Amino acid sequence: MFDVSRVQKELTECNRDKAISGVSIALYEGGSDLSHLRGTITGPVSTPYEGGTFLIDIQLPSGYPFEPPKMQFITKVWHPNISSQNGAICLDILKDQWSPALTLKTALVSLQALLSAPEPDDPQDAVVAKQYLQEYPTFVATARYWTEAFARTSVAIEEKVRRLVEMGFPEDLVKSTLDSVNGDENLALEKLCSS
Amino acid sequence: MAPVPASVARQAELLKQDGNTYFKKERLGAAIDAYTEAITLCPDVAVYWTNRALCYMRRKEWNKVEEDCKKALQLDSHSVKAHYMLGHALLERQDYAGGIKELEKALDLGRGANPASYMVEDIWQVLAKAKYLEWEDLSSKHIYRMHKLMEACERALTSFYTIEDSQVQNDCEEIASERLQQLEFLKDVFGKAEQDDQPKEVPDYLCCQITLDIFRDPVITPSGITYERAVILDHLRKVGKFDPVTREPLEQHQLVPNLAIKEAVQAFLDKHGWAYKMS
Repeated sequence: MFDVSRVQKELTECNRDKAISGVSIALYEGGSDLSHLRGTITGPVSTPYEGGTFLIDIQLPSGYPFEPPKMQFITKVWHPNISSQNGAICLDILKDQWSPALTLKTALVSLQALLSAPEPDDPQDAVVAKQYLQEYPTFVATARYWTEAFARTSVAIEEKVRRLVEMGFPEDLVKSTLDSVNGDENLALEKLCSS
Repeated sequence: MAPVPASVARQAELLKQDGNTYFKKERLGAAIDAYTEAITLCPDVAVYWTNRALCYMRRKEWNKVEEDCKKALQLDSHSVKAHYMLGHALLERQDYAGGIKELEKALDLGRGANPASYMVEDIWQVLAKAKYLEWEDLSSKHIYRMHKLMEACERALTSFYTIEDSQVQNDCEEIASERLQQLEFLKDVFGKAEQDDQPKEVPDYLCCQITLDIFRDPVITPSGITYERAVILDHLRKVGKFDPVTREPLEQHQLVPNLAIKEAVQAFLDKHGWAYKMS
């Protein structure tokens, strides 16, 4: 079993200054399992990710903090070191460069830094990396488009719930429907109307 | 006492090993019998007594734990296990002061012990719980007394004003507001005094960067970073032979106790009993 007391302290500590750091951690889906968490990072300014909020699935192995946490983007993101398919991350500190002196917060901050400074020479997603190196303007446009399309949704989810509820659908149903279509408002509306 | 012949000592040693085997299999009764036989053959080997005490501890027969540990300590006053179990037993019969004393002794002796008998974390858990209870009790009494004192002061001040008023005719607004301020200030002073008793954060420099908890047995690396001993040893074994913060190469033998931090932790804990609280 991992060090529960440390993880609890990490959560408190990380969320204390989330307004400044732009990273926060919560239990996954509001559950009670300390080994499954959800991180949130805000897209760094002056990058194609600015304005986006990115969710990260965090799983703690039983050996934590002597083994690195397993992190993966839930929010789709266009970045050379993050798989555009499944959100897998290529970052040394989450692999062989992990140290128990690092924390979930420092790992999330490193992810934020990775968004600011991609490393296309050590890619996770070859297609994105190639685009980054050969057609940089297209890369920026795509990354920005993905941010708008996928990373905005998570911020505005309450807004969407509100709009759909105003249309006369019950709130619980709206929330679960939005969840089932990953926050796509139009799809959710279609589903709500057809059900 | 006449020296025990070597053959008898060997036999007692075999009985102890039997006892250990039974203990591992959770056959406490059989283990106790084996240790008792060993004690009958060689009554002045402390380990036989502490091993039997451990069986009694599992059975929560605290009086017997106490007896065996006291006997063991007569034979070997440096036995970490005897001090630890005796402390535990004393706490069980609500002798907090005595229990804490034994546990502190155990912690002191246990720091830096070799890995086979290293039990600082176990000792700490029991000690911390006792210390926290002790603090909770003292501080609630203290706060109660302070409240009483504040109420008395307020009443005294108010009646003093009334007496003053009856002697001198003054209904000047300035004086009235000054009095109000004085009463406010009184609350302020007591509020501050109370805060000293409230749990806060343990400063980062007294916490291990891996456990994020207050140090029990701090050791320093050649890079100058201090860690909790048990945890840095775990790191060297499981992750790699490097300093977790600086990533400089690090070997176990390079770890040195950090006595200054150890004292600072003790001073902090003496002043802030709440810091013993375990999450």
